[in-house]
Amino acid sequence: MIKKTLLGIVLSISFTSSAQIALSGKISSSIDNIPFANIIADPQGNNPIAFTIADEQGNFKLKLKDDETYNITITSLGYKPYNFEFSSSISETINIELSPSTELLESVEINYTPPIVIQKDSIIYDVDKFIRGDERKLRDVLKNLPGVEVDRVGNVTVQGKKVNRVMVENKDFFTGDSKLAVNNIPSDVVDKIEVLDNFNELSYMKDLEDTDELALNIKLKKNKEKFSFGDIEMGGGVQKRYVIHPTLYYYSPKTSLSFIGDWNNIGSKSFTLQDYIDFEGGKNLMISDHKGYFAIQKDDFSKYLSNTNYYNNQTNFVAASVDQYIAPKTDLSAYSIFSSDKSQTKIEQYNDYISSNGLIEERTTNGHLNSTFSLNKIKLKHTSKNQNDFRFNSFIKYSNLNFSSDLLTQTINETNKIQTTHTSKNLTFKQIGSWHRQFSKQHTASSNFVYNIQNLKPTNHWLTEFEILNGLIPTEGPLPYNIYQNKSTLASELNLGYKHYWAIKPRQHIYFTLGNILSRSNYKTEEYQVLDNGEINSFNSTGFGNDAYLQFNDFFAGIEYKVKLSNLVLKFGAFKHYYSRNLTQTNSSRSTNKSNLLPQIDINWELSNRKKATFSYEMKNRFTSIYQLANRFTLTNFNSIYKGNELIDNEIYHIYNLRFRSMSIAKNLFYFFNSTYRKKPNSIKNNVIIQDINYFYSPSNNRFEEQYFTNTASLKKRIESYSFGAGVNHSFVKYQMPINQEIITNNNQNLGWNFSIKTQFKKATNLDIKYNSNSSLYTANSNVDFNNRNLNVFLNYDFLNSFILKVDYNLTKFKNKTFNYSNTFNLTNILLEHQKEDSAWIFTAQVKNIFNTEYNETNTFSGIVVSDRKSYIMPRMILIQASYKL
Amino acid sequence: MKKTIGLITALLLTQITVSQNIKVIYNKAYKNYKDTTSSEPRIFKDLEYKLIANSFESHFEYIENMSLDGQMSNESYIGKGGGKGIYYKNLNENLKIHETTHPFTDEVIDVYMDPNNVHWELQKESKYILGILCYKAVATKQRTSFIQKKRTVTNKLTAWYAPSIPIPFGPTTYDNLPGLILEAHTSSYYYIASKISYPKTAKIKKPSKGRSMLLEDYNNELKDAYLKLKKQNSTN
Repeated sequence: MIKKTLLGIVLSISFTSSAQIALSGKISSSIDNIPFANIIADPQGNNPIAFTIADEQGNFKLKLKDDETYNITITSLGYKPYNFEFSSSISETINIELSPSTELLESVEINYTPPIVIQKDSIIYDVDKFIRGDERKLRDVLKNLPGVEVDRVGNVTVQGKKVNRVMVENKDFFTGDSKLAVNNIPSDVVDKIEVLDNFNELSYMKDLEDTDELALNIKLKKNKEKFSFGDIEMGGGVQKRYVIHPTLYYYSPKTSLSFIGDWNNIGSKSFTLQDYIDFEGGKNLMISDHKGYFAIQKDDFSKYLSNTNYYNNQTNFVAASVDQYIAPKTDLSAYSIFSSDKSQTKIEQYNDYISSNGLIEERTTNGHLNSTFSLNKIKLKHTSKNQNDFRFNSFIKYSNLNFSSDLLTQTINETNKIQTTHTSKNLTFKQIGSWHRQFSKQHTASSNFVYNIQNLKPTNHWLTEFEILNGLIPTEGPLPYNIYQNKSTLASELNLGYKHYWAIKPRQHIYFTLGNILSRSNYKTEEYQVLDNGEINSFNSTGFGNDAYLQFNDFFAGIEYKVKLSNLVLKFGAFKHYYSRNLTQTNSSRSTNKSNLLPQIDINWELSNRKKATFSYEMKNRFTSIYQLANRFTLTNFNSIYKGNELIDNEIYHIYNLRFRSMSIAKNLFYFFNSTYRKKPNSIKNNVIIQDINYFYSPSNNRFEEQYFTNTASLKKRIESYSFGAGVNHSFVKYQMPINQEIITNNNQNLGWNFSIKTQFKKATNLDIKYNSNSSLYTANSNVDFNNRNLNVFLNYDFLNSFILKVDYNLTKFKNKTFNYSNTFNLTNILLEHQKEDSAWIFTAQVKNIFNTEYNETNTFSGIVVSDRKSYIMPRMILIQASYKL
Repeated sequence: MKKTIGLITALLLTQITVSQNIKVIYNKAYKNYKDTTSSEPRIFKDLEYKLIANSFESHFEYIENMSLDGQMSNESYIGKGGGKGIYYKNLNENLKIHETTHPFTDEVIDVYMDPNNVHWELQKESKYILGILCYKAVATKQRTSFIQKKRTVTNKLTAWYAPSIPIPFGPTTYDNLPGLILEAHTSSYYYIASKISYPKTAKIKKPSKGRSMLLEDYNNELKDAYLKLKKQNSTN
């Protein structure tokens, strides 16, 4: 201790030529001591500024240099500043008296409109800290990140929330869908992964808002300013199996290009229904509730994309995208997808027509599906310096489908063979524009427009050996019959909206919404028979053939009030809608005007940082589409006829949702509960008349009550390297429908539970086991009881440093208690991968569907028919693949 | 007689001015510490903090806010660069308290800090903030980190204080300068004053909701909790 002090003294002597002195004293007013005054000593020379704060009694002590002249300022709140010059070679003591200041300080405030600073709730993962070394694609990297889960297909969830969007360097990767990015971006280019919660580029209309959006932003390694990456995967196998799958990605600060190609006959597809829905705008663009009028409309295209069961398939897929910087704050991005796909399907159905006294039908359908589609999107984004933001998006979609099938149907009464050819051409153009502006701290406005035009042209041809539909259609001449159907829908929609945000107080907002949706559609159908001699027998004279024109307008104005009370956020809204509808069709025209006030309530309660509860209520109004209004017959299948009802307008429903979520990082415990209740007091149901396997249906003039109630609970817990999961779900649906003039009450109950264990060892064998059981009980005019149990085991085994063995075992046990029938279904894939460290080559050998399981079996109940359905799947495939990383 | 009145007025005025309260609104702002250009930090317009002070005590906390529907919230930045919870200082009692919630257990803790652990170096550089002349002061501060590899992290603090408002307070833990601190930053996160007012009355309350702990003990507790979690999560 002494040594140190001595050293200090020696040092101060040797390095400073000047000596330290002290200026001390007391500061007071004429009445009392002044506590906590500031004393600043500003040197005229190069010595540092010295300062101190006086103590409670006004005493102070300043350390100064002896060879310096200081300007000393003494200030204290409420007193006039006191200045003097000070220079001394010895320590001194002075007492200073301050005189009170008569000036009161004045308020000041920045008078500026702050720029829109958009930051996001984010978690950033530094990838290097989490990698194990055997990762190939982004998906493998994501799997290692705590709180992140990737399913086999490529859907990503972060802390139980699904990722809706993937970006690379803040730009959408293709459609933004996670699957394409996750399965294609090589792992070694990823530097950081940002998880952006509450991600929302911009939103204006109430219905577009979605605070549950979650986005991933991939930050690339910054080795070079410009670089490209990609890989080429090629493989072949017995029975002429092949795969060619190149992925190329080029990135530079101004331009990024990407290309994905996929040619294979192993049944793997680079574009699925989910991608298609995302292309259509995904969650973001489900513009209010009128999507029934337009959007996806369960169009043919989605129907065929959702079919993943085929036993033979050939895919040609090309996708390219470009992202170009044009000017400061302006970006142009475009992408294009082209796909041509051929597949063969086989479905065996066993149908129990409960309403036809338990008539059994056995039906086999052998089909060929050729589909071609092209999806294109152009997006222009401009953000001006401060308060303005403009965006333009254009979409063009073209698809062409051709499905031909041979169908064999057998019941105790009849047997028939029908050849069907279905074609569908679809062209859609959509233009979206949006504008966002902040006027001041209190006022923000945004507006948008969406214009959409769609042309759908489906055709059907049935060649039937025997009479169909029990003579309900006026067929004539000798068998077989050639029956044709042409349909077309030309529809347009213009959607304009304006929303004004007024922040009255930091914790109290009012929002005003004004909007108008105008849609027009023209729907035509015709059915006819072509006789052997080429003559045409039109069905129009017997009530077939529609030509309907519908104009629908929805003008709405709404007000919302949002308030935050401590940890509770409440929002109340009310929207007044004025609907007007004009329907013109063969022999009739009808105008309807209606108005409705639709309320909504949102309650968000943050019990703690990790516990959150939300409740919401909403009343909705859905208007019938032109298809439900067209009042003449049309064929919907070889055994069904539909007729719309122009008298039905709309149905109202109420949705209640309650959610609770708890997440503890310290305890590694996560659980949630979700409950939804939906009630339609006056639901629209079809009046069904069924005879044998044929049915006629039409929306009923009567209204029926429908209730839907669903509950889900789930729990996840991690103990060291083991993750455990468990969950239960329950749902209940009750509705009435008129069948053969009798009102049948349907009760559907579904109860399921699941359990899972997953190991997360760093460099070792990892197992992922999932088990779930699901029971369904339908009660209508008879009871139907199904049970489905599924075991999935996934093994990842690393050995000899450079080999990985992956086994994916799936066992489904299915029981139909009604048919007293059970079945076991096994689908297992094995894959062996070899990659030497630092090698650009990866070799894989795999066997898909090792047990050569023929079909996938599902059961459904429609209220009329209980169906057992066997869909044939890709047979066993043996493949050898090589992939080279560029 | 006149003299007496003069004296009384002077006394009254003194009383008023001495007991004057100050309210300052700060916005959090961000500028990457690697960015050496003279560009202004970007302001988080929805992250506002308020400092209420008189001549001997101050109270600083985040102003609860609500984001517009559809707008991204910067809530996760509330605590970046400090700012979560309540910061309280009292010169009379020589106190500096940070009331915060334990990040692992959510327990409320009143952390007692050493009131005089920063040694400012005053510089001659000056600028106007809200029209008030401010001078620059810098300091370095060492803190122990259990997350970063380097156990001791040296932070560079910069503050701009206004000698014309002679109270030694500022945002979060920034204080002890001969004037109110109107702007301060450590690495990338800034506090910038956007409004100053002088309310007639102001309640300044010492936080006492939580368990009292010394900063050192609190840091040790956090370290233990973190290491436990890390051990739990680390895969073999």
